[in-house]
Amino acid sequence: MAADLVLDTAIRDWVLIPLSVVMVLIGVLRYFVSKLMRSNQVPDAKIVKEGQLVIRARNLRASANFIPPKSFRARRFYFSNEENGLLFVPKGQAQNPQAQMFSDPNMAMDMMKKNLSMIIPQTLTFAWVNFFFSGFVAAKIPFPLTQRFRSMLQNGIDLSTVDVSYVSSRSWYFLNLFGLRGLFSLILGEENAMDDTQRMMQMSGFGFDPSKSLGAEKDSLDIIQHDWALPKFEHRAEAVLKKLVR
Amino acid sequence: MAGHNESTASGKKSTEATNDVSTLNAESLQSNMKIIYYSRTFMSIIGGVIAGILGFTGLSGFILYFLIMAITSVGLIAKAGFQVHSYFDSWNQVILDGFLGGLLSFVLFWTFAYDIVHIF
Amino acid sequence: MGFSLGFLVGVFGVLVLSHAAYSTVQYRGLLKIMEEEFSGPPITVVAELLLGLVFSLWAALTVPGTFLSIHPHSEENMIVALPANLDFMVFNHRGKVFPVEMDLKLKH
Repeated sequence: MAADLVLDTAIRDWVLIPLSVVMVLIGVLRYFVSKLMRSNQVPDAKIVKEGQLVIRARNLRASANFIPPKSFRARRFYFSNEENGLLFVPKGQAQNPQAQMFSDPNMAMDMMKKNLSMIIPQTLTFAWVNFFFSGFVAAKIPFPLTQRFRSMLQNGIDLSTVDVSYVSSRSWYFLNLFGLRGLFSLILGEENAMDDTQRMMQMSGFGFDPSKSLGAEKDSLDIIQHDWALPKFEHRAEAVLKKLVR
Repeated sequence: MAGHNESTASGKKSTEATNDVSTLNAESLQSNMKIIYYSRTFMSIIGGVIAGILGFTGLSGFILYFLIMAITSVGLIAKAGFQVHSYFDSWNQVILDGFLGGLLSFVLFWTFAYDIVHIF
Repeated sequence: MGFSLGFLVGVFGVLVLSHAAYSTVQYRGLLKIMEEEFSGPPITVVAELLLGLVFSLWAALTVPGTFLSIHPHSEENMIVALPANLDFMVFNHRGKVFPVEMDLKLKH
């Protein structure tokens, strides 16, 4: 390990602490701004219907054994017959979510708003950090790292003699950006922590496909083994009562 | 009371064995998991600050992290009244879940406290 | 949730921790003046850290809420599960005959 650098305490008081505090405050601000900008989405009636349908089918599956075989078969037929069963999605009718997005400009608009509320503060903060605090060492990571991390941790200082564990102020910004998620989930609630990663997911896959979940539910409903529990209930009650008496 | 609990639990086990109906309340389970997540995140941040102030470097800091997570696990189990199965599916959910999730927060706050206290 | 006892304890724990950090900074400044090497934090700081850890642990365990039983036979779930039970939701009722207002609301 190279000789320890002596850093000015002014760097701590005027760079490290303000930068971290500003990162936290910007995270909070971003949360509230995105909350304000979020248009209260009107739920699509069809999607809600499908969601409730899946829940109903799941309930049926979970408590299948509590109803007589005939009733179960009737219900299963109601859900999954090949003509007009509720869970049966005819091929070709399952719409492409991509096409759905283009047909509904509101959706694209909403996504753009979300992205803007994420990107604008980040670029602004980055520019701010770059302008004021670029080009010096601000922090030190308390564990050794390999040379590969140099480009990640010493962004902005081009000295190969400095030990890798020293962190430039710009890289401290990046570390904060990724590491503060836990703190945000504590002070702002769960949804904020999920936001960033979920947005990434949405951008790639754009939501989930309701027809797929319908199909999966139908399959699992089809393969379920029905076994009426009522005839055995007396034995069960007997066993439980015997245990209680004992 | 305890005997009563035991009998119902065993009775439930036998019913699960016979008709295999999942008898767990998913919403409660989810809320319990969320509580665990909050506790672990908070404790990892606190652990980071403590490791930084003590001036730990290298491996000892990570050992402290695992120590604190183990303490948190014990605390969570104590909070559940040592009857984990009435609140969770399995022991793993209490002991292991989110063990590594707080590591990034831990490292960040460790670095922060260490820098503030020790390198200047 | 509000400012419950656990929350206040947690705030106090964090304050204790920050005081420990501050006194360590002072201690290091003192060592620098006396030109001695730093071997470890003073015993008071360690005590403060332990105290802060205990307080924060208490807060971490009490503030997020209490565990709910996942067994359907427990008392709390008996009542709680009733409104959430979709079996009691009725969609086919005579309100369906008047869809106009619904549409107005949806379009808004």
